[in-house]
Amino acid sequence: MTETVESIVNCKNVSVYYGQKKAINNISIDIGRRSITAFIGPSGCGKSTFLRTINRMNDTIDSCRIEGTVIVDGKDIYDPSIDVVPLRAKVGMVFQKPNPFPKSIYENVAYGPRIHGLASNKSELDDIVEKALKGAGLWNEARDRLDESGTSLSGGQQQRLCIARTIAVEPQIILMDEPCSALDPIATSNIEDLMSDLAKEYTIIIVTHSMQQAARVSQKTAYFHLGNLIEYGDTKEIFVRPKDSQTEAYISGKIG
Amino acid sequence: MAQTRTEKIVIDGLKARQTKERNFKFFGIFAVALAIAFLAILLISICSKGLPGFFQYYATFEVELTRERIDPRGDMSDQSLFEGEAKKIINEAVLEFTGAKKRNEKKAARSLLSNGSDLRLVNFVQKNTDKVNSRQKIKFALDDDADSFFRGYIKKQTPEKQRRLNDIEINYLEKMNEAGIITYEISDYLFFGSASRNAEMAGIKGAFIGSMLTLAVCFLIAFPLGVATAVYLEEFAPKNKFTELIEININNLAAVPSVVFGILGLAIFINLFGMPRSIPLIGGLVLALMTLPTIIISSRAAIKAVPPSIRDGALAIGASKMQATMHHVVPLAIPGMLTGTIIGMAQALGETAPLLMIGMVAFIVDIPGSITDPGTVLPVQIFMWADFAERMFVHKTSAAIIILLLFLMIMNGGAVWLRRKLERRW
Ligand SMILES: Nc1ncnc2c1ncn2[C@@H]1O[C@H](COP(=O)(O)OP(=O)(O)OP(=O)(O)O)[C@@H](O)[C@H]1O
Ligand SMILES: [Mg+2]
Repeated sequence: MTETVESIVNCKNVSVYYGQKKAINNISIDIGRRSITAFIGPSGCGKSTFLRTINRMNDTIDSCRIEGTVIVDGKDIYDPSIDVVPLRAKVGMVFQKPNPFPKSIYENVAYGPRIHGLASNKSELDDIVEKALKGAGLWNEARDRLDESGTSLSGGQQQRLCIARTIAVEPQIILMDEPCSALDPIATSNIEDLMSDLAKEYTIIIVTHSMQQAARVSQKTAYFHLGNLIEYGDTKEIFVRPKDSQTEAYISGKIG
Repeated sequence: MAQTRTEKIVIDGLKARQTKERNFKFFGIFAVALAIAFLAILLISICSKGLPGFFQYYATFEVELTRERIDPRGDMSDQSLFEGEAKKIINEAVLEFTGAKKRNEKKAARSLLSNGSDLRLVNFVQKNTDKVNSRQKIKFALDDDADSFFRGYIKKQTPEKQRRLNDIEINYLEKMNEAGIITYEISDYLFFGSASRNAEMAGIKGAFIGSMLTLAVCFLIAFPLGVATAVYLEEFAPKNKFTELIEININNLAAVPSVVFGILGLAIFINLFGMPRSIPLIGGLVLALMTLPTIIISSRAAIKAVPPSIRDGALAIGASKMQATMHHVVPLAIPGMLTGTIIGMAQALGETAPLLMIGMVAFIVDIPGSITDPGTVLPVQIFMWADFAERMFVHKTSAAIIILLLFLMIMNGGAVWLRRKLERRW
């Protein structure tokens, strides 16, 4: 870690178990505010699992158990007094497969602000929806069809709708789990541009299988292997001069 | 290009595969054809028996509606009309027409019209007060034996001792027929009549309304309870031994014979809580017990079928578990839940045994006005009618079965429509 950036997520000695099986082994990592951090590593190494500890989505899996501390914006999120609702409003998530609600485009984006009570009237809500859709680069395509079902959009548009849905509640952190794996190169590059824009305001953590994507968009990269954090540092450093031989092997395509 | 090894083996085995497939297809078509044939036989037999049940024979007579005789008190009240001479007036008209003089002739003439004819006259007067004090043509139902004669079940050739109508009666009926006053029409008694020992007056109105009331109670209790149980078990309940036990029990309950629920209802609602017998409220409660497992099981399946990604999407933007469930999971599961509910309700509609246990088989002439009035239901009515030997009851039994089937079809159609409508939203 060469540059000193203010960190927003601090993980200390985090281990995650599925039943008896240990999926994450004692990981400590600090993630910088308003930056893009990429998690890379071979399939099954625990990237998604680790990502989901940051907004406690692992709570939905009965067998999942977590040890260690995860501090988000100064608060221990696994403290018994913490409610997941404000946490998840602060730490949004975009999934690998676009999962718009089977409701209208408008309702998809308005849902978060509505349940949190962010708008006091219809026109405020309209503004929030418009801003979020603009932020996700979907406004021009969707402005005339806000009443149409979100599922009627193309895959790439659906994924941007999911991003709009996430940023509509103005989180501080956006977790993205392979957000482009179902998209073609053009949609992918749209989303990458979008991420770079969003990083001016939000902290983004992205899981990706594409080395090029990690290299293109992220400032920092973490390499995971079999539940361990092998190497974490500036993206440029990692791709040019990996310190660890495993990292080097993975980046150059020898494992994974 | 030379044949590869795989290709050769595959081609050699192809004949056997194709034969297997053809046999399977043939077997499938055979099974479907058999099912359709049985269905057709069922429908044909019910319709051929039941369609005549929708009709009956009426005789039209002109009667003198003298005010003083019909309405002795002069206030047109039920009591006054009841005390009046409706029966006598009708008999006079019949005697005049037939020209019966001797005692046995008069007796024969009077036996030809339905016992309910005086009530029919009274009803006519009540509905047409302006027609009092004039001569009016009124249509009366024939007694069921007379009806059977026109249907051809009683034949003139049969020796007099062996038929239910004597020569004089047959003579009079033929006379009426020649005069053209006999008509074969849609039976208003079937639709608007209630339980009756007289076949020509028996109808399904009371049982139909009883069925509606019972089903309404059943639905109002079973649907919310079943859906709430399913949602709780599927989304909120901790997965432990106790909930597992509950799940197993619910699945077992679905297989419990329905009569057992009747015994349960008898023991709890009637013997323990001291509620009255024969009322739709208890019928509905018992049927609700019976349909609950069906609704719970199908609702859980419907909830399971909602893609978890939708739930995750809602949770990930900070919806509470309750919000994710109520805003997203339940609306998507509702069509499936409704299908299960309708199937359960259709079963409940056709259910007889548990209702016999709680006394809904009693002979009740009054039409139930609320869920606490004694009543019966369609299948029980059919069950009771099927016990009577009169030809007309045989026909009316089948007619009632057709009505029950139509009711079921309408319910199922409604379910399909509702499902489409709810699913088409997105
Ligand atoms: N719900 C679960 N129950 C049990 N084990 C799980 C569960 N989810 C993941 N695992 C296990 O945890 C380990 C890490 O899985 P994870 O999904 O985090 O990998 P990943 O790095 O995201 O892989 P991929 O790149 O293929 O998405 C794997 O061995 C996986 O089998
Ligand atoms: Mg993953």
